[in-house]
Amino acid sequence: MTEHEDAEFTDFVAEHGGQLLRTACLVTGNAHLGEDLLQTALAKAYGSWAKVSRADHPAAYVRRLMINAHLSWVRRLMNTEQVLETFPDVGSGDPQHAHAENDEMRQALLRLSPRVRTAVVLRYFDDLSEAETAQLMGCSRSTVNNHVSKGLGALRGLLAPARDDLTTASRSFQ
Amino acid sequence: MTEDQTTTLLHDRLHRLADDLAPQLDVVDQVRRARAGHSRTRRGRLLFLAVATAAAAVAVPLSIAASNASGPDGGVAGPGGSQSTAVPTPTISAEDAARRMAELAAARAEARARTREAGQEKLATDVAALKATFAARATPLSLTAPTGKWSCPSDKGGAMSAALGIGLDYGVRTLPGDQGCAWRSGVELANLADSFTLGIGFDGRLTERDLRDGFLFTDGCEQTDLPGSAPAAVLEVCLDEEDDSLMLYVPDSSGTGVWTFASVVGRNQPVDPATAMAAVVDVADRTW
Repeated sequence: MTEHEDAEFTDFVAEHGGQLLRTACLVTGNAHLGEDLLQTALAKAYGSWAKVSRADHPAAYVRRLMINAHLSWVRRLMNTEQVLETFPDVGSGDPQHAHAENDEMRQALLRLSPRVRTAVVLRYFDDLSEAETAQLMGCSRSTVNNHVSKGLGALRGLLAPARDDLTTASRSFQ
Repeated sequence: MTEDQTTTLLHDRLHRLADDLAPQLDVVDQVRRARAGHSRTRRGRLLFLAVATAAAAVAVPLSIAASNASGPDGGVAGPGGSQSTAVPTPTISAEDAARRMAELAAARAEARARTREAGQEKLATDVAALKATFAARATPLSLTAPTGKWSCPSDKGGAMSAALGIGLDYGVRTLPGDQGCAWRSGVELANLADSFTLGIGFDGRLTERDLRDGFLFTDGCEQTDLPGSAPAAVLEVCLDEEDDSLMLYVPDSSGTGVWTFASVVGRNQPVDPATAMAAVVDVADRTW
């Protein structure tokens, strides 16, 4: 890589790295895994920067590398993450705690399967269209639609009031 | 609450969670690590190719990392020696202490590198044997996916377990699907060196072109064409600290869909990943 390309790559990371890291943290549900995921994508992008930089939207290209790595089949195969098909009631937790709401959201996201979670994050965090999400995930629009419907339904159930002592967060989803 | 309100709320909560979860981005560190990761990948690739080429032709004697460090009694001496002779040690200056620490760290890093190289040589030899096995097939490996959903093959009579000499738990799932079929043994993922996972996946949306474009490949792994398959399959070799993994990508004979085989074997397991890969491909070959 030439000095110019190296500087270009650095500028790219400065401009887009923050948003990519936020997406990575949400799809993995974990800051460390998110950093690892971003790093995987950036190392790959660095290695083929000439190609990446020529893309219409280099950030979209790197995001695709990142999502592809996240959805890598062997990673899922080895993943210790427990994916539940049924969604248990949410406990009241500690509504006074400053991070309670975010923690509840994080736990709810982690109960979604990786593909469903990814579709929800791309649609409602990155604000991608159904078609863009489908292209990024390498699947059809109807599959994305199914994932998102399933994800929203599950999140409503997870974040809905489970008992009378409702948290503020769970009231929001009534 | 309407659908729009729900999604707006979800959008806001995801952004608050991202603010809370994502650390501050250190651009300089990220770029430095990306450069290093890329260089490491290239070095590993070159080393693996060199070793794989040599392994195909001659048996390469392994360099024994510990030989230089072993004492005459067979015990392992530390980098500074294990003699118990009393040596008058005057006051050690800060510079000497720092130099000694640096030497110790360098010796440890060198030992780790030698162990890793020995692992790479062993794996390269195993992979060369696997490629030779495929090249010698009477008929090329050719898989044709059934239509609709179908079940994973069972290891009837435990033939695969018996061939590998390892008890395997079978994860019953269906294909095509997100998870595919998985056989595991000793999966205590707190210790990857004890893990053993075999898997078969199939994605009907992918094509051979997707495979050639490299979108399926894992960063830091080495890809090589596997002879004895039609259409041509790609074998991917990934070396890690505690386990080695082989991935085999086989385009479906129909022209649409790609099969993925995984063999992830911890260093403490008695079976090598190439033998395990041959066993799981054999199951698929008999079934499809």
